[in-house]
Amino acid sequence: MVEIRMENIVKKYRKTTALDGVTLTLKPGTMTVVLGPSGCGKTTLLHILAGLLPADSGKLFFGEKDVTTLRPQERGAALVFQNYALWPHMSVFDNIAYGLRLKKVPRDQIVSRVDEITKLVGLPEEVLDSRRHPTELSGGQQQRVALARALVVSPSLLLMDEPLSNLDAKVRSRLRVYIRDVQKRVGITALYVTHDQEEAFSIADTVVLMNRGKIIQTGTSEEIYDHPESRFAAEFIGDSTVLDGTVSADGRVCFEGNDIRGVPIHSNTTAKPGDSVQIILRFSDVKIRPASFEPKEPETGLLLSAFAKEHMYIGAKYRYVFHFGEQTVLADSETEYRDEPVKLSIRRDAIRIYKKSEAS
Amino acid sequence: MSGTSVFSKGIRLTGRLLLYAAALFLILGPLSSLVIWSLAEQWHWPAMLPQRWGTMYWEKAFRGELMNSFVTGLEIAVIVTGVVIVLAVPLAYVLARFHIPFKALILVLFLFPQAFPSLPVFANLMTLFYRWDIAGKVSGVVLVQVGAALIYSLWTMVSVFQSVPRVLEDAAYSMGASRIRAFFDVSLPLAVPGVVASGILVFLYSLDEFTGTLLIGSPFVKTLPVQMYLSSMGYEMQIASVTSLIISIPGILFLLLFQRFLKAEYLSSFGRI
Amino acid sequence: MNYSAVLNGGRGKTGERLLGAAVILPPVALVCTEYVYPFLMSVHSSLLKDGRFSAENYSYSLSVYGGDILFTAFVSALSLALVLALSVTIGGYLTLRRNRFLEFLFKVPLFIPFVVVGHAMRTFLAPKGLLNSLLSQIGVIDINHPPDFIYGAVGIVISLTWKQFSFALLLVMSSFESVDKSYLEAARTFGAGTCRQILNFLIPLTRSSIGVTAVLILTSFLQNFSVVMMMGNSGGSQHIMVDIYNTITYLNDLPLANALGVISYLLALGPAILYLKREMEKA
Repeated sequence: MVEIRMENIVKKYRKTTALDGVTLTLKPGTMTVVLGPSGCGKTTLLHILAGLLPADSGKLFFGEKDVTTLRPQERGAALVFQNYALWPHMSVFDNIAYGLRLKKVPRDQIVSRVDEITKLVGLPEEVLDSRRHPTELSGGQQQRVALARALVVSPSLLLMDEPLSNLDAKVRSRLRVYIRDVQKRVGITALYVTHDQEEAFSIADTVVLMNRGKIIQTGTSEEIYDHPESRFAAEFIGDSTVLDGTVSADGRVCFEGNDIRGVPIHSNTTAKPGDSVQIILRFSDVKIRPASFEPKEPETGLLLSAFAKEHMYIGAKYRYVFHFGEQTVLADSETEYRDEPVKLSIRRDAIRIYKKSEAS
Repeated sequence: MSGTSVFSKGIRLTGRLLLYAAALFLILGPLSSLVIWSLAEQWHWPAMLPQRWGTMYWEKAFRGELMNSFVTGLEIAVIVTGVVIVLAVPLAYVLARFHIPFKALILVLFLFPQAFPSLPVFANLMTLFYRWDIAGKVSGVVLVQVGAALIYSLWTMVSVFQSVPRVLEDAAYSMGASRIRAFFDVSLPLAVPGVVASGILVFLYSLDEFTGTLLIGSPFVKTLPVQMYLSSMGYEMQIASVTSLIISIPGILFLLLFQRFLKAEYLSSFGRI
Repeated sequence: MNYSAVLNGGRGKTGERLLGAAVILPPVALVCTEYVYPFLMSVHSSLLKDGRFSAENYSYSLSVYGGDILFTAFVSALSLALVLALSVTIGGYLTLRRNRFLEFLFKVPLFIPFVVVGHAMRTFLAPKGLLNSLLSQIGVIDINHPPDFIYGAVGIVISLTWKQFSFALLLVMSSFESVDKSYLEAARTFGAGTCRQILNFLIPLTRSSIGVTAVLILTSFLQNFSVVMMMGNSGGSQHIMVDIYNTITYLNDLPLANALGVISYLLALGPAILYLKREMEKA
């Protein structure tokens, strides 16, 4: 397995810049997940890696080989599509075998390779029966066939374009574990694109966060989740709430009259009294405590007094809605609080503050 | 893409130009031959081009029977288009919206005139028309053309009406409109582009129609195609070429103006009921 | 939800039915009288000889015109093969690599009526026509003995192919374009070039549309009248339509013409039925 290197890849479509100088290295045998909102450029990046789209500028290396101008099969990249793209007029066997046939692999080798791969992806042998067509299989099975088709040609790079988003939730969570398992067993370098955060974090060795054609942050799942380095990252990752606050006369950040303690403003810009700031926190970090709660210093960054009234049951948890001035704070709890005063406490390392004018 | 040499780019460009030249020659060659002939006042073999050019034959053609044939053809086309639309549009609506027994059979029926060789059919039709005294008259030609052209309007309008959302008509019904009113107030206005498109198809078909006009209309009713055929077989090459060009003009105009409409999406279900 | 029926309390039903019939009957009656009835008439008439029922017209047709029947089938089949080969290859390339200039250019023959095509080809392909004068300039042929393209099969095949290639291209490209792009992308990632994409994917996935196109075009060739009249052989084999016309106009023998006509119907019907049978078997 080789290292895959992208250097300054730029791609423009008429007036929009889809990729704005993307530089990324994929270590051999790892699963890298590219995460981002729609339109962030992740699919374009995938297609350029696959060789379906030429980059406007920049270079691409598979190991020592410059593959920038090579066709997909010449560079050894295989793609698994979102809608599987299994050819309906060919049998399951022919679908998987196609890449090998084009490479003029002898017939008996094709049969054994396809057999091997079919077992690897967990498909039953009957699926290779000559009359079986992809349309007769379930969604999950079709996706396995697509994976088999990609792996059977022994690619240097496995590319997956939101392969599970067409499947329903239960199948998705089962299959993602399986895909990760197969990737590790084969030891193949893989790039996986998705907009589903849970999926991304659960299977990735490295997470790459993208927005508007740029890489915003790279790191392990824990690093990205716990330490988002930009406002975009903080807002995008997890179930975040964005609140407005101000800088008080004595230089402290204040939310609707409550001081936030021990949380610096991001990038340490000095804030002047009266400045507006944005406070980003996850409502999974907002803990509801009984009114008698006394916070343990110095962990608590913000302590709010509130009245628990508005809430909905979302199955296993209650979701509470608290109003502060014009703003709303959501919090979850397994306990049901009815019409009683409560306290909301948020740890200081769960709060991120940005000056209002800061762009992500 | 970086890495391609100027040399190979040059080869590709030359190859492309050759390809274009070949395509142009094959497609426009026969047509340019027409243009040259129409302007050839004196042309002796083996010169590649006429010795003397001029518009003499154009003038001759116009002074001759050509104008009459042109007008006749136009008259017939207008009448045929009108009749076809009046007949086909309501039928298409009824077929699109309601459960009609034998709907598929009815639609295929209109394929009949185009599916079978029309010459023998017209031969027998001639005897019928003689009995009804419409052979050799405009009415006879109109009737024959209408029968064959209905399919163009019908099949187009059926799919157009099927694409008008039923809910819009239901909204009219729920306010008390009768079926007829809903048709004229809601469905028809929304289907106008389809009516126009199929009208153009029918109009072009009628202008270019040859076999039926020749057999049923002769010897009194002459349209441009018939006129052209007679000139060509009579070796009046220049007149025939002038006539050919005039016949082709409506078609080319249509191509230039409406070729955007000949798109993949509209035609991918052509022929499927 | 049938609001109209609900509002009319069901009373409108008969009125509606009458209106429906009034809309359906006239066009149907017209086509039946003008085309179906004469069609049946021709079958009937072909079986009459001097007032009696007999199959003599058919035996006569087959023996005297047998060569022409074969000629018709041959010319139509050859033109169809050319049209399909050209439209599928060019259509495939144009679908995969768009080229607006060629796409527009290839639409031109569609708008030139068959009659004009006939005459245009007469001037272009004639012994002293444009094609030969060009070829003689390049030196490919001898000025004094120019080849004769227009009479006989060659002229007919060239004219028919020229015109219907455009139509076939339109239909073939529209079904090629309806193929899901991801199938082709997947094929590309596994190394399929343009040629393979056409052969292994575009064609198999659009087989039934190509079949419909082939049937439509074959029938148009079998019943073509204008081109074959203008390009026919004065001494040799003729297209069957020319024979029918001559039988009516010069021999005044309607039953014989009708026998030939019925044979031409069968020729036209044959491929259509074959095609339908295959489609039924698949379903």
